[in-house]
This record gives sequence, structure tokens and C-alpha cells, in this order.
Amino acid sequence: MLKKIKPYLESRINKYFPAVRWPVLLIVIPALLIGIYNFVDILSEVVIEKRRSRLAGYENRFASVRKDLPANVYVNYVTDQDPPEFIFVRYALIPARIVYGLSSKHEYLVAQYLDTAKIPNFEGYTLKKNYENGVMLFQRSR
Amino acid sequence: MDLLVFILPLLIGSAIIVALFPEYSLSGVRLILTGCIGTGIGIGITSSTAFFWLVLFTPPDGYYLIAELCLAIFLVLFAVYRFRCAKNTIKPQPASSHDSNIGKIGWLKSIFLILMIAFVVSFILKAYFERPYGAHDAWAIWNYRARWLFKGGSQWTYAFSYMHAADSPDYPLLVTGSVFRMWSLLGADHVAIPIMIAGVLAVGSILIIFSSLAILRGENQGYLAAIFIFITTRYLNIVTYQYGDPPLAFFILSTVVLFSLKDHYPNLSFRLLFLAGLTASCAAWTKNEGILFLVLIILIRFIGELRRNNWFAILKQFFYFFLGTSFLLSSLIYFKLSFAIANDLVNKTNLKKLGVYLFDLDRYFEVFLGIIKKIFTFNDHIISLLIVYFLISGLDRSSFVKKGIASHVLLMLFMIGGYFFSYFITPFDLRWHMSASLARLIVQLWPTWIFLAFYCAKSPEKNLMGEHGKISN
Repeated sequence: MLKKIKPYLESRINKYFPAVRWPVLLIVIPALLIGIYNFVDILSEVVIEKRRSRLAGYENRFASVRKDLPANVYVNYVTDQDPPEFIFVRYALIPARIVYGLSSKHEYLVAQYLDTAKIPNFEGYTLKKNYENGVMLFQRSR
Repeated sequence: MDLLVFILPLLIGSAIIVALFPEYSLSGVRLILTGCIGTGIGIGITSSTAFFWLVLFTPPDGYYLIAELCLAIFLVLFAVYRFRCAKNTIKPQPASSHDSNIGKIGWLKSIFLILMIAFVVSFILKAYFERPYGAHDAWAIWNYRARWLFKGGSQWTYAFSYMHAADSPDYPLLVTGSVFRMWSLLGADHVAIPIMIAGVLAVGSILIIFSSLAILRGENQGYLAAIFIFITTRYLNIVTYQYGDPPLAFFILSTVVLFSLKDHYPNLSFRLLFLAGLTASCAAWTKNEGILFLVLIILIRFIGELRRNNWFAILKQFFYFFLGTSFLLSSLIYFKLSFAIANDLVNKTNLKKLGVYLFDLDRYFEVFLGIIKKIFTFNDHIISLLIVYFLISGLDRSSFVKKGIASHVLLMLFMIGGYFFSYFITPFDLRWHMSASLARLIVQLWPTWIFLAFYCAKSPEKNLMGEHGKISN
């Protein structure tokens, strides 16, 4: 069976692709189909679905806080988000050293409350600035 | 200014290659190979010089740029001098392994160009618009450290101190250092920089596959191999993560290509070994798996050859290779001794567990089957396509191809063995660890496997003597 099919296929392929051996088409045809499909898929993800990195949102939201924090200080971070996405905040606020939670209290505290309209209270801290985007900066009470 | 920041690594690396091979490196398809490997080497060297500048003085500034510019001008002038000297001395071209009478298949080149454009545009769309900050490890490790080096001021060492062991703070600095260097020289942490570094090295890998196979096996084979990598959509996806794996794949591929060239052109042996030393040390300066690669290269290509060859000749070869590694290897040793805390996988605690794991047969099977399964399911079973093509197409049996191929395959298998060991002793949940990282480890070796497969397989064009049909453009 295979002996009959192989020469037939070869003769058909030779007609259209006289220069190459037929196994080459095993690569070229899928490459064209997959390459073009992947391109269209990415185009639709970016242009139609408008998929964007969540970190970009964190970068924008925390840009003002970053300017208000002294460099290299330890800063507590609390949030109502689950998961807390601590790594996003840690990256967005460099060169501040971010510590998640309140187990060790530092001079500054950054709070991100996106699901709660009410300004939270933290014992020993007073609100220094509300950025009106869910992000607040607190400082230790004197 | 902006352009200078991007061009200097290309100039430095390419000038080194032209100075080494003035008679061959600037003509035809070799120019592509020179530019690609040169850019990689330049990125490696400048990432290290920028890091040393930070350690010794301040973050790279105007003075650093002048110093780097002087280095580039000196190397370019030296390369031009070497090139002129070589032009005046008539030297034979290295013997080509393929029949130069075989014509180019024009449509294969057209398909390659179409797919290359689609690849680059897809990458730009995905990297700039969907994932400008890369994926998890980019903001947890690679660019996190770069940002600390850039913004940390006098406290920049914090980049390595306040990280969990799982964040791999001991990862070498090629990617991080390059991003830091460019951010420092530009004075801002543009998202475009890590994207550009990832993109340049990914496109460079594809062009290295094409140009090296064009030299060794003919342009048609080069185009076909490069077309094959476009089927690997997972590769494009992982490149947009901005991780260290695709750059490591670039340097592993470059080193294997240089060793293949060395096997075929013995008259260029020492110069190629020096260059291979540079690329292998760049691999070690990129990721810890690169250190494993460097050790395996030394074991297989030098110590393993001692029995078969004159030990003095091997020692001489090793000297040139070692000379190539010396600069970046010393950077790596300095970094590891001064800044890197213990590795998350290879450390005393995990090695103590090894005694328990040694008798755990289930763990052997779990790791072994996990790796095999992942290799076969990687990118929708793409390996099956490669195997089927290879089996149908057949092996090119010329002695030119056979030379050195066994050692390359052995090297790649030992690399997989190294991955096996790292999973075997992992302190993390084994299934989670494998599912989180194994695809990236496969990507580290994937371009090299493609190079090796097409290096050994028969060329795409019909044999002019044996089969009817003429080659058309």
C-alpha cells in the first residue's frame, strides 16, 4: 500500500515543486499555516481583545506614591486584594523596600484598597495622602 | 546618544570577530553570523563592564560611555587594520562542505522572509502592547534586580540581598546587567530596553541557525531550519517573557555552532576556540544552567578527547578556549563570591536530601517520565514533526557532517541529565516545579537541537545527479 502511495504522492509533488524533495513540504506547509495563524491570533489578542499586562496598571497607580517615598526606606504594604500581588507592588515602588503586612511596623505604610470605598484605619498610623485611585500613603503617628 | 547605547555592543562584539577572522567574517552569509554572534558577545561584555563600573565607581554615566566608546573605537580600528592586512595577503577560502553548484530555491527564501517578518511583528505586538513588563520572573528576578541597580543609588546591593531563595538571587548578570547598563546610560527605565534585548537575541538565534547551516550545509538547508523554528510558537511566547532562557539558548547555540565550524575548518581552530570560549562564558554569565553547559563543554570537548588525541594539542586548544572565557568567567566568579547568596537548588540542605532521594525509585520515574512527557508534548508535539521529517528525509552521510556530531548530541543529552538532577534534588513540590519551568528549559536547548537535526539531515534540494527536475530560482 505504502509503496503505491509514495510514488504517486511524489509524482504529484514533483509536478508543483520540481526543485525540492517532498519531505520539505512537511515543514514548509505547517510553518506557513502556523506562522500566519499565530500572527493573526496575536493581532486579535492585542487589537481586538486589548489584552494588557496587569503590572502596567500597578506602574501607573503607584507612580505618584513612588515620588512621595524617600529612597531605600522600608515600607509596609497592605491590601484588600486577594492575591495581594505583592511582587507587582515591590517592583513598582523600587527604590523603596516593601514589606508585606504589619508584622514589623515601619515609618511608612502603603495601602491599596480597590474594593472598599472607606479609608481604612491602621493603629499607630495617620493618613498622609490619598491618591484617589485606591492607593493611600500612611505615616507613623508621632 | 540613544543609538550609541544600542550600537556599541554590536560594534565591540563584531570588531572582536572581524579582528579574529579578517579574511572570512565580512563576506556574504558570514557577515550575518558575525553580526549576530558579535551582538551577543558585545551584550555580554558590556553587561559585565557596566557592573564592574558600578562596583568600582558609580552607575554607568557619561564617563562610562566615553570609556566604552574608546574601547569600541580601539577594537574597530584594530579590526580594520587586521582586515586590510588580510586583504593584502591572499588566503584560500575555507573549504565549503556543500556543493556550491547547487542553486538556491527562491521560494524557500521568500517563505523564510515572510515568516521572519510575521515573527518580528508578532513579537513587537505581544511584547510592546500585551506584555511590556514581561512575565512573572521578569518583574520578580531579571528586571527587578536591574531596576534596583539603576534606582538603588548607594544601596544597589539590595538587589541581591532581599530576595527569597526561590527568586534565584544568585542568577548571573548578563540580562540584568545589560538592561541596567542601557537604563543608566539613557537615564530612564524604558520598558523598550528589556524587550529589545530579548528580541535582538531571539532574532539573532534564528539568523545564527540560518547562517551557520548556510555555511556548513548550503543556504537551502539554512532557510529550511530557520523556517522550522517559526513553527515553534512557544519559543516566541517565551521570548516575550523577558527571561534569561532565550538569551541562554542564543549562547548555547552559538557555542555549538562555533565548535561545529571548528571541526570543519581545522586551520581556524584556535581562533574559533577563543570565540567559543567567549560565547560559552556568556552562557555561564546568563544563567546557572549556562555554568553547567560550560563545565560539560570542557568535559566533553577537552577532557573527553584526551584519550583519542595528543594531550599537548588538547591542552593548547583548551588554552585558547580558556583565554576566551577568562574575562566573563572572572566576572562571574567575582559576582558569585561577593553578591550571590546560596543557590535555591544546589545547596547543603538539598544535597543532604540526596541521600534519601537516591533510594527513592518513584522519584526517579516521576522526574524521568515528566521530562520525557514534556519533551514530547512541548509546543503541541513539535518534536514528532522533527523526528518524522528526519526519518523520511534521511541522514546526510558525508564525513563532513559526521565529524563532531556525536559530541554535540552527547553534550545536549548531558544538559538534559543536568536538568534531571536539578529536579531530582528540588526542595519545591516536584510537579509544580516541573510544570513551572520545564518548558523554559526545553527552550534553552531547542534552537541547538534544530541546528543539529538540520545539520545531519539531507538537504532540501534534489540531488542533481540522481533525480530529475532542475533547481529553479
